[in-house]
Amino acid sequence: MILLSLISPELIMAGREAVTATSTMDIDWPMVGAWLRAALAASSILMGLFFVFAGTIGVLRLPDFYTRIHAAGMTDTLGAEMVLLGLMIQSGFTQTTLKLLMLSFFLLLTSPTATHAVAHAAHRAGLKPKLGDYRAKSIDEIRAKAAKRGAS
Amino acid sequence: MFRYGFILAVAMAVFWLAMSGYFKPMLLILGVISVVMTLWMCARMKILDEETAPYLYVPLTLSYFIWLGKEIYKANIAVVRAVMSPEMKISPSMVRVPIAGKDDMSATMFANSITLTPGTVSIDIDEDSILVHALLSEMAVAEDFIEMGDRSGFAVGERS
Amino acid sequence: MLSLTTSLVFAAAEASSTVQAVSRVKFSDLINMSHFNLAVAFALLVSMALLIGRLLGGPTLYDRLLAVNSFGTKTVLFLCVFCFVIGRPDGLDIAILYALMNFIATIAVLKFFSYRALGVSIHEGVFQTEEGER
Repeated sequence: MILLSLISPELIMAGREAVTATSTMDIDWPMVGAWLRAALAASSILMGLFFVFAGTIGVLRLPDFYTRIHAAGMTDTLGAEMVLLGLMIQSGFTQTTLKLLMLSFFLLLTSPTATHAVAHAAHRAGLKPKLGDYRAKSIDEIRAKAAKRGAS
Repeated sequence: MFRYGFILAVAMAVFWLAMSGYFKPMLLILGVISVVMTLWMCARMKILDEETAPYLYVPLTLSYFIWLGKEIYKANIAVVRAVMSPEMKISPSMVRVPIAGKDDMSATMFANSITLTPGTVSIDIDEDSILVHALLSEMAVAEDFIEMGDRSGFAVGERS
Repeated sequence: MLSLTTSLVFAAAEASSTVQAVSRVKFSDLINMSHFNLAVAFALLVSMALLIGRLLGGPTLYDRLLAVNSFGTKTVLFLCVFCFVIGRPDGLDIAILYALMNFIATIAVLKFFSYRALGVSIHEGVFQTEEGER
C-alpha cells in the first residue's frame, strides 16, 4: 500500500502526459469560454433593456397615475436587475461584482419603498384611481375625432 | 441590546471592507472610527434592537428573494403583454388584502413584496389589511396573496 | 487509502494550478465589450429622453415625481454601464451613492409636499387640514 502511494503520483503524472498528448484538437478553450460569457452577458443586458423600454413606453402610454406606477415598477425590478446581472457576468469574481450585487440589493429594497411612498401620498391627497375596463383608442377613432375637430 | 450592537458592528465592518477593498492601516483606522461613531449614534437614538440589525435572517431573506424573483418574472411578462399590445386591454381594480403576520417587520416585507411585483402596488396600509391597486383584474384576487404573505413572514423570522 | 488521498491531493493541486492559469487571462483582454456597452449606454439615454415627456407633461405632481424616480433609476444604470465603457469600475461608488440619494430625495420631496415642512415626525402631532384631522 505504501509502495503504491509512493508510485501513484508518477502514475498520475504519466496519465496526464498521455491525455495532453492525445488531445491535439486546436480548440482555444479560454476563447470559447469568453465568447459564451460575452453572449450570456449581452443577452441578459438586452433583455433588461427591453424591459426598461417597455417601462418607459408604459409610463408614456397608460391612462392615469395609478396605472403608470406599474410600468415604472417594471423598469425598477426586472429591467435594472437584468442589466446589472449582465454587467456582473462581464466582470467575473471581482470587487466590482460585489459592488454591483450591493447596488442591486439596494435597488430591490429602496424602489418599492419609494413607489409606495408616492402612491400613498397620492392616495392621501385624494387622487381617485380610474377603475374598470379600459381600452386604448384605435387609430380610426383618433382620426375621426381629429377630423371632427378640424371640421368644426 | 449589546447582542444587536455587536451584530451591527460586524455587519458594518464587513460592509466597509467589501466597499473599500484597501487594507492599509490608515484606511482601516478610519473604518473603525466610522463604525464606532455609528454605533454610538444608534445607541444614543435607542434603536439598537432586532429591527435595526436584522442580519441574522439574511439567508432566509435571500432564499425568499429567489422565490420572489420567479413571481416578479411572471408578473413582468403579464404586464409587458398588457402594455405593449396595441389595444392595451387593462382593467385597473382595487382589493383589500388581509395581513397574516403580526409584527411590523413581516407586514413591511409583505407590502414591499406586493409593490415589488409589477402589476400590484400597495397603496394604503392599516392595522390588519393592505389596500392593493392592480393593473389587471385577474391580479386583484385576495386569495392569491396568501402564499406570499406566509413566505414573507417566514423570511423575516416570524414563527407562528 | 493513502494512495487515494495522495492522488486526490495531487489532482487538487493540479486543478488549482490550471484554474490559476486560466484566470490569469482576463476576460476583458480576450473580448472587448466596450462598444456593446457604449450602445447600451446610448439606448438608456434614449429611454431617459423619452421619459422627459412624462416629466414635462404629467397632469399631476405625482406623475412628475414618478417620472423623476424612474429617471433616477435609469441614471444609476447609465452610470454603471458607463463605468464599464471607460474601464474604471471605481465609478460604481457614485452609482451606489446616487441610488441612495435618489430614494432619499423622493421621500424628502414627498414629505415636504405632504406636510409643507421637513422637520416633522410622522409619529407625533395631528395635522389640521381642510378635510379635518389626519
